Amino acid sequence: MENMLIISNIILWLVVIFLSVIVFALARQIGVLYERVAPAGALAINQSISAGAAAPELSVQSLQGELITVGKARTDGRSQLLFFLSPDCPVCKQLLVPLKSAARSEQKWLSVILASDGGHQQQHEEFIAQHALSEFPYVISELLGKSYGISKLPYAVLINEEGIIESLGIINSREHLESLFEAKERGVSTLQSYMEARENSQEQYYAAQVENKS
Amino acid sequence: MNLLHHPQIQLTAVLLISAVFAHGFWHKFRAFDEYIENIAQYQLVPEGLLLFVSRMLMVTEAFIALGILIPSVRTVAAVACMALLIIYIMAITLNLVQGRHHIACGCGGEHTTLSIGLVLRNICLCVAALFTVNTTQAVSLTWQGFCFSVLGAGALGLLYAIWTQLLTNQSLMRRH
Repeated sequence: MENMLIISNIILWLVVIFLSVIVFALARQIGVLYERVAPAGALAINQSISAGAAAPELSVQSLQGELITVGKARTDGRSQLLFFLSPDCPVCKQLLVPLKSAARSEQKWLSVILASDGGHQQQHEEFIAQHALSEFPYVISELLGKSYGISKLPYAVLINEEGIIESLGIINSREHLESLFEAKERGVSTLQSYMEARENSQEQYYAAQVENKS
Repeated sequence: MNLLHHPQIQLTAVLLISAVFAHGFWHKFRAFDEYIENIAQYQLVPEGLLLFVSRMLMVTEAFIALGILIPSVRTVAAVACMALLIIYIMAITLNLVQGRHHIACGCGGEHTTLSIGLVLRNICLCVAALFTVNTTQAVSLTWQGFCFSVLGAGALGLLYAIWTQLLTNQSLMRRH
């Protein structure tokens, strides 16, 4: 009986070790995936503006009645995120939750402005009420969309406190939205350009290593 | 029998501490330049003393890994282990309080940055080291007890590795 208990105990320990090895391997694989999978950035397609250039300066009136100056250098040190959307655009609606969450988490340095360029005012007001967007200035301006070269929705432009475009792109997911902030933090125009630069520097490093060896 | 002085638990703790510090030493020895940079990032050691302090920490880890296996110096190694872990805990906490979450810990994991999880891990190791104090006599065990200690130390070592890997993953997640 005692022998049986000892044997079963040893078997149990071996099972615990085996399971721990599996958990470790899985955790390691997740780590490797994080190292290999590059973050997806917002696709920066735009023929009118580009990152690093001065943002077109415009004064527009929001639906709430407030006069908003877009693209001007600000004295309060806050950046502006222009988020172009439309009540008819299903992807825009899906992105409202991550947008609100980003606006909350980045509220120390960021002001979010929602912009649309068409449709009836009543439709936009219903959209604001339906999705509880009253906390953000909501602008309807065709000129704003044209000045910023917006051809596809949803689209976002991040303008820094000096009125310079930090990053921009089509936003289809929370990850794309966050990539704009990430690009600003890393001092690059888009995450794609950052990844390209990183790959190039790695290739140069490996080439130098090969040369040194030979 | 007092749980703190149970030979089976003592042997498990001894094997675990030895394996953890041997791994830590080997990692630092392999990438010593990187380790010096990690120590510098803590901003607690003057630049002129960086090389000396890094070498001392590495040698202490090697001493703990070996010394804890030898009954006559086990207590000294265990006290050194606890002292070293307390220094690590204080250094990490100080940097966390100052908001330097992004710096690499230099504690054996790849790209593992400072976090509360790391402090908790070191506290657990400190508790394990406590079980090895005052055991200067050779541990006498039956073969079954020896087997269970080795298997227990293996399982705990794997849990330690999993914990470290999860902390590394968390750091990589933050980077993304």
